[in-house]
Amino acid sequence: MLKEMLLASGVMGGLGIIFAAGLAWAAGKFSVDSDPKVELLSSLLPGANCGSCGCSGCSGYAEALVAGTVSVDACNVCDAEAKQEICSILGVEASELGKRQVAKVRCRGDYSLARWVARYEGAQDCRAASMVGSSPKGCREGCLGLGTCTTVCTFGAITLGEDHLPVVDEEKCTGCGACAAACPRHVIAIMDYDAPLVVRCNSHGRGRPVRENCQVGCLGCRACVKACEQDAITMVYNLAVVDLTKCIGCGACAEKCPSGCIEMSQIGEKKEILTA
Amino acid sequence: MKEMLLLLVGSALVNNFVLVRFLGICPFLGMTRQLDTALGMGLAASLVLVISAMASWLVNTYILAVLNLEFMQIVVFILMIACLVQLLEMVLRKMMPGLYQAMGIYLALITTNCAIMGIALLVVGSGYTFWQTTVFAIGAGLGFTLALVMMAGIREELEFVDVPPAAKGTSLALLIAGIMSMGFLGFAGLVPM
Repeated sequence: MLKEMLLASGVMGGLGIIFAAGLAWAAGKFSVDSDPKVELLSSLLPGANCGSCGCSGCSGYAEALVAGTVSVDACNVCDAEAKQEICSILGVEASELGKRQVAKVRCRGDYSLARWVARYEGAQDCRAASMVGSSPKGCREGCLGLGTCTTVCTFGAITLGEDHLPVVDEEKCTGCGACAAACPRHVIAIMDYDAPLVVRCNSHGRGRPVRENCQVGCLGCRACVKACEQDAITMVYNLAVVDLTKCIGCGACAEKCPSGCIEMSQIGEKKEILTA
Repeated sequence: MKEMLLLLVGSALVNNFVLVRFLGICPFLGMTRQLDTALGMGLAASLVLVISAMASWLVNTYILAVLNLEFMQIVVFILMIACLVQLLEMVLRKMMPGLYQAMGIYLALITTNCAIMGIALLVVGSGYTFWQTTVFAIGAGLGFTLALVMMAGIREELEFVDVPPAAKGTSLALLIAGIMSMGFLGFAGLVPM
């Protein structure tokens, strides 16, 4: 018995050593020089493997960068410093680096403010819930509150609030867009970090049905359009759309909005963080 | 010669690895969306099938059988196949970069494919000689490639077909796989087993 056990472990160990030695020899013999740039770039990239650049992970992106098939701007996650350094390694001119972008949730209809017409008991995932024939939520364009965006976020930047509405931590958010792509109702949008305001509703319905389904939905009443002196706001299918190039962030629209769905960002505070 | 030919046809068609023995179903369903990736996967798997069948025959005959350690076949074959595929990857990368680029991703995946493990266990269980083993493995590789390429061809055509939502995608692929498998049963009388 003991003999067999020793023999078995001896054979297994011996084979393992022989194979390992063979592989080690082959690794030296058949080694292929890889481009040192690739490794250097990999160390500069965030390593989150979020895939928003369209490559298979950060190492794939590094290879594609060296090959010159993708642009430095394809990575949303890298900060400006790292991008600058990548550009200097690659020997390309740093192009106009894109503004920092973050995810913003365009809905405020949580479990208490919006009307729910049915109880959904399926898989706790928005994508599954949105496949159910009739919407469990009265509003067919609002947030389903099951937190698919929180699970797809690689950076832990989205959490589900108390009443099942996602909250984006804009300091952690990198604007990679994974949540926006996963949200079956397109409630999350990727917008400029320093945008002065965000319209926190996604409903294109007319006033009355919107009000019936949600206390905080955009009614399409045009009060904000009239209040805006810059003509920055237009009504597109009963939803206020703000032209951020015209908006000066005066806040007149937010004051007039009867359902309060225009939210001003604390831009002064943010500018300080950005420059600090 | 006739015997070898029968063995080849037997392992390629009559006992097709994918459609009759149901080995290697994972790449059969996962890698058959496009014709060229299916062909690449099929060829890479064929190469590994032949090499691992030959190596497992050698290891079994000259090491395990001599020492009465046949009960260790599975463990030893896992170790051996993993190392072999690694080695093959290195050699291909150095010697044939073009081929490596074409099948690089699939090679690593093949390491854990049940068709590879299956052939290693099948050849040592059937009492073949070394050359019979080689021919058997070549036939298995051909059959595997054939099944993948056929499936990819059918699925490419199906992209443009209007099917009910419930049958779309994987469920339709499974239906087709079942029908193909039944079709391959028609070869059963071809070779007297």
